[in-house]
Amino acid sequence: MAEPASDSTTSLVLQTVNSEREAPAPRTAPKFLHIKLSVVLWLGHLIATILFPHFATAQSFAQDNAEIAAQEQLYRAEREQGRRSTLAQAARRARAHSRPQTQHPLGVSGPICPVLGTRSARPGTLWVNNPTSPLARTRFASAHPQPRATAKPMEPVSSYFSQHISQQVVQSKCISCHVEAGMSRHTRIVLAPASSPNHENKNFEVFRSFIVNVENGADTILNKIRGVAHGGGIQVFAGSADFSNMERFVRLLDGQVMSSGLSPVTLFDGVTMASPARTLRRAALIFAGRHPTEEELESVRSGRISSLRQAVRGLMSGQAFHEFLIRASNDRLLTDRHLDHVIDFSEETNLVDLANLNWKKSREAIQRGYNSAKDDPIYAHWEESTQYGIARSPLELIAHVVENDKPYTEILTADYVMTNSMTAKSYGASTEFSQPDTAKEFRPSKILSYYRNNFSKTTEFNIHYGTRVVSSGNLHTIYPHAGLLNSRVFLRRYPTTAVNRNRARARWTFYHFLGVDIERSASRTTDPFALTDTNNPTMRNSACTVCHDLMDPVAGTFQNYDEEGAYKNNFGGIDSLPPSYKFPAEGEQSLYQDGDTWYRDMLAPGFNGHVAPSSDNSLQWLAEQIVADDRFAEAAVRFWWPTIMGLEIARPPDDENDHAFQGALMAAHAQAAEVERLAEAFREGIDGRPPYNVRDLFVEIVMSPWFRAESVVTDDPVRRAALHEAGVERLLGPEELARKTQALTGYALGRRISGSIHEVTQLDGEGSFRGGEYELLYGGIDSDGIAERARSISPLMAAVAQSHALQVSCAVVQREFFMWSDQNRSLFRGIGAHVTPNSGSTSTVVQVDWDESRSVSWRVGAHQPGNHTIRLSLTNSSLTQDSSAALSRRVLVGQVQVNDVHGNQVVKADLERLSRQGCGMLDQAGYVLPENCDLRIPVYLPRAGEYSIEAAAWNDAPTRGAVRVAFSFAQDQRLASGAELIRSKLVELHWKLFGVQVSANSPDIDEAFQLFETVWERKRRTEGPHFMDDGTICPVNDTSYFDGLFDDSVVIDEWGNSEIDWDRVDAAWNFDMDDSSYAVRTWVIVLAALLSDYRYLHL
Amino acid sequence: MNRRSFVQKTLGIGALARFQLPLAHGADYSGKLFAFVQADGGWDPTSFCDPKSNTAGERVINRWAESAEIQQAGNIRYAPFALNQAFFEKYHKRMLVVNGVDAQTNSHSVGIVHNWSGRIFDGYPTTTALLAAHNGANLSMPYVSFGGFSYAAGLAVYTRLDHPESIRGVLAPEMPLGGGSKPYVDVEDWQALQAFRASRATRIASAPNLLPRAARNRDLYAESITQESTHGLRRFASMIPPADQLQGSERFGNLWSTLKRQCQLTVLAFKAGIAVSADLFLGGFDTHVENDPNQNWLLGNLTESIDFLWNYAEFHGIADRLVVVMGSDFGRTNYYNDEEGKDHWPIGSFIIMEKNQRWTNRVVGETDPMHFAYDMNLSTLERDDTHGKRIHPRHVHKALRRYLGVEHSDGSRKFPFHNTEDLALFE
Repeated sequence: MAEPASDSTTSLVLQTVNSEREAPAPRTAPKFLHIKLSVVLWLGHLIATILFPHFATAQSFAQDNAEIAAQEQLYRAEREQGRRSTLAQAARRARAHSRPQTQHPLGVSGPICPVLGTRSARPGTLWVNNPTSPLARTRFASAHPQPRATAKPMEPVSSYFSQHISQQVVQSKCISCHVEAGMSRHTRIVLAPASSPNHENKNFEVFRSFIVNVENGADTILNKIRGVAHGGGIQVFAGSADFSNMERFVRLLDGQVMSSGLSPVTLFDGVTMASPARTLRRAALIFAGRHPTEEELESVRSGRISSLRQAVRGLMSGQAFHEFLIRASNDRLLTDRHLDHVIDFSEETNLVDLANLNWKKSREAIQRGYNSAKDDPIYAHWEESTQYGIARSPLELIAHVVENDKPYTEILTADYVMTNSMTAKSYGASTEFSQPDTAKEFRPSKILSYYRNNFSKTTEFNIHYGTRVVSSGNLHTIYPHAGLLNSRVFLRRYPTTAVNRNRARARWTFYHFLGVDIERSASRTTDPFALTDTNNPTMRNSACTVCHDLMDPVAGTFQNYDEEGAYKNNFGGIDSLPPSYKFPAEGEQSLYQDGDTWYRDMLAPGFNGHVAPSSDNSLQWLAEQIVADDRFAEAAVRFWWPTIMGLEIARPPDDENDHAFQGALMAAHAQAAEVERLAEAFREGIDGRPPYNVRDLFVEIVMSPWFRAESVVTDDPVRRAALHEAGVERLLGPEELARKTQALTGYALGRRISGSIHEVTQLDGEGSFRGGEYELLYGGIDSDGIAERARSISPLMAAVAQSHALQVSCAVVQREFFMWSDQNRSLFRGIGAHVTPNSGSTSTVVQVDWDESRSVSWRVGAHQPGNHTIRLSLTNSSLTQDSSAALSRRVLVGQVQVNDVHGNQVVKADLERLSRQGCGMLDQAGYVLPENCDLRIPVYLPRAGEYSIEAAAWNDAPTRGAVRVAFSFAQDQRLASGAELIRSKLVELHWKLFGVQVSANSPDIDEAFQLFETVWERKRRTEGPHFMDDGTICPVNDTSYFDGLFDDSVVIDEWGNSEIDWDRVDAAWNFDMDDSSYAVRTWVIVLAALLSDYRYLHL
Repeated sequence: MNRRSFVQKTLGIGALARFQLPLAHGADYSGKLFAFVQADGGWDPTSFCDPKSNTAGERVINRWAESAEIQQAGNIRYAPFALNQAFFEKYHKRMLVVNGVDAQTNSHSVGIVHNWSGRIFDGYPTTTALLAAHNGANLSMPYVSFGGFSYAAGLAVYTRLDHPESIRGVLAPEMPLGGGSKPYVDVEDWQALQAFRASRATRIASAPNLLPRAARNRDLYAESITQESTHGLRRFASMIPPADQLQGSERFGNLWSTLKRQCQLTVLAFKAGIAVSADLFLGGFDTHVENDPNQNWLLGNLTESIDFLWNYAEFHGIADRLVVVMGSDFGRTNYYNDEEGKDHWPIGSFIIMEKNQRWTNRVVGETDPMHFAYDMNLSTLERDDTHGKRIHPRHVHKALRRYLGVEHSDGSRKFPFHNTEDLALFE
């Protein structure tokens, strides 16, 4: 009949809005965008008539609608009259009334929209799909093909149900909960499974009865399947074929359902996507903590999607990517809550090597004279490093899997644990480390020295040293690693009690790895009587089993782990059941029997209706079950999406009366569809690569329209509401901001050098955005009471950002201008400290304070042959000095020449000729250069090469103060003014800091230049010539600040606390921080303004 | 360059600061100030404001009831538990207790949403947010949050105030974080910088065709750096006392509380005129194990903190404007489990406090001896087993909206309570 729907504008419209039948769909279908309905109809008819010989299909389609409408009307009328006719009768009568009511010029019946195929299309603007958009070819469209053969006009509704609803929706989706034994058995929709005789008729009657008896029943059904106030979440996507079929089905029963013209596929019509360069820039900030390099940008300049994918994937390596993975994982798992303490070492006896190492190191600390081992910095460093190794294990496992392109399933199935060198030793593993002294290098290891407790184990306890295992005993355990599931910190973060019985662990396992939020997955009891049921309600009371049937078997698979996460920790090493269960209070009967590892009054350990085959390794079995479940891939998308997008996946609104309900519902559906698309790609493998590759998934998320959406033109409130969270112009988190600043400026606020004991548990120190005070103030989390990031900037956060900008700006500017050579600079390369709004493009300034002719030489680098200009001027300002002295100040220039790289003269300036320029004068001693004279000396370079300028100059009255002479050199007439150079630098800074390309005369640059001028003018009027003369402070809060400038500039105390050794820095200090042009101080303010710009703080 | 002057500059030694913190109160808002105290995890009302003694033939509901009688202060009955006696005796005249509130759930996440937003489903803002949006639109941090549920539904942006020592430095961003007499930037440059930021933010926010998210973020940024905002922050910063005068953290086993400090900062933010509503948070009430000792400490800490809140508000002259609401996810079972804990129970209570009101010294809502809620006539507030309705959190929040003057606010219109009867709490 037609081409695949996904390639056709017309077919997409039909598919997503009506989905009643395949439409004519040539690949060359015309492009319609945002055209009024009537125009669409007219154009559609005209073009289709010309181009598509089978346009008649559309007419017959319209006619079908008319028949259906008549069918609906009749059925409704019958129902209203209480005649309760059968649907078959209704259908028969409908045939007799199936002629169109009004003949439309296009052969369409009056009240029915010929495009939407429904009465419910909103009048006015109609959005149709753009066939050239990549969205038109998204998997969503192909994943939900239109129904091949929809209902015949005269077929009974029950037949329609049989053909399009029963299997596709009821048996595929609803039946998993809405059955007699299911979670939703207490609801008004309880259906018969396919195994039940006559199930189609029974189920049809359930729906019919619901719609007849429940007010707005049809709406309720359609909302429920779309996830609205539905414990089971979204089951049928709006815009999908299944939804259209359901919509039609309930409409046939009721006829009151409204339909939106939007679908997940058409939602992004009218949305402009970010350019590849902008997309790459955002991805680079997220994954690499920096802006893309020129090479990376060049690679996407072609605009090819494949190039962009490749470039994005190329960002995913290195330390910043590792930090991203750790941070993102912790945002979900929150295991960093225990970053400094997971296990009480002094009481540990199962991990034999850990116990004995702790004993040994504690004893050594006491022998060193400390009253307590914790007072000893050596012990403290070991203890903290080992705890850190245990605490970061699950996050490092995730990072290890991702960074090594291992299948994501391994996060649960890994038969190893990630350790640093300290933890590996504590586990009895002999893992090799390239940097065994750092706590931050993690490698796969195994827990080899785990011995459960029984009479064969002997231990010794000392109040100072802790517990020593004298004899390990005979219960050596091959630890049943199950990825992160049985890492000690995961179990500690989600603890259990004798009452909780691992249910928290089960609840969060469902949440993180299956994407199921049990607490929201089912209706909850509203009846307190159910909670007074003491007859094992979690197994017998339907108010409880609604959740516990799902949760408790999974809780059981954690059966071997006690509240601290220790494996089979009860004496004897056979179970972890609490004493209150095994040995209840006197008078109460114990259910426990020898050999039990799980509660007899709970469902058996298992998953999804299957019982775990062995109690010894039930968690490993669970891991295998989870990763084999389709939901695992979807959960992975939900796991990573929030950190990248800065938002949780949208949930359907719970009440159709909610504000902007239709838009919110559409957003939820479109995102759910995207999650499904991503999950399937992740599950199957992307671009021919192996499945479950997380880096590939990240690339796909970046390529998603939700990420790339940049701007929109729409007056449709529903679309606008649905796009409420589209795009990633979001606030950078504190860690992202710190990493970005470090990448751009080389400065990290609060950084402490590697090796500090505190470096173990926090990236940076006091006053930092990573581990310091700013982290929480700027919206970060503490993984405990504050577990959700603040995503919207508040005045307080804006103040934090401003404080950050001011501190960073000053430190960076003074280092770049005064301490680093031009080629080492990050932001201010190519601009001198004396370039001001009214200067030349000075490249150097010489302070002339001698009274005899002395040679001054200045390298100007490589130049091409041709005309060039040497420019000289005095920078001393009479405005800030004693006026009489300033006005009398001058410098004498005896000779000016250009030398080649060997020092040979190439050109000599003709000073006599210059005296005729009217600026300065030639006398017997030399050329007199007064203040306010801009002397320009033309020279001609005969060949390309490296050159230097040499001048003889002196100050004929040095007692009146030094004279500062600015030199510049450039080809032809390109000797830019200072103002031009400043503007040019501002353009460059806007690109480097914000990733925006603006011209030198744009509003951005005008504003910034005006700020520069304002600040500079005031400073030159009021401040002294030195950088430090402005009465402000310029803090250095980065121990790496003097790296490359001084040796050993940092001092570390015995606890590993590091700080800059100011005495040593002072002794070696040799920087001239002259700022007599006031430009450097001005840049401090301008850079601070830019570092607190909206675009710097947002992605 | 003199190296010593460099050290001076880097360490902030020397000249006097030239910044003057504005002292005048900038806010015009003179209405009520609202503190919602979230007892997170599910408190035990039967040991607090809906006291229950043990019933013959039933399981023990409260151990304390084996040796003590229910007490009464004014018209309010309370359990002789924790520090209740001192609290109820002192404050019953400014207290309205709403008992028998059915949260319709035993799930924390649902109970939290229901009790703090008034709707059992996600998507509605806290009443705290509604008040902030309506009364504090132009303030620096109209909505203060110390954790817990603070969903604002886009009506307002909450501000976390967790580290007062750091906040003091940050709120005057041109001054060093750790103190010091010299600023990062002098006052004229600071003003130039601020003017530049404001001008640029306004321009950026007016860009055409922005996606909603981008437009929202740009607006928020522009609002965050207004002169009013920064002045407000400075006022607040100037009021934060030195570290040794800040209330500290308190601990009991694995439980901890910073509630007194939260009360202190809330009062200061109110006093500074930069906030109108706050969510205060005390966690740890989920006492599945050892219910009594844990609830004892937590309820004691809660009531002590509320006492501090009133005293501190009195000291700063804002107690007459203060409305305090305490609530929790739900209640706890009417029996002890095997671990001497109590599990989840959907029936809970609210306590609403205000000075000099005729609706105080009163209890609304009833539960039976085993803490089952009775249906009530929501108008007469009499028990009505035949035609009565169960009190739900939405009834309380609807009444609060009306009483606090935001019933017809934009936020309430956007997030109305459909099909919700009026509960005559304040009439």
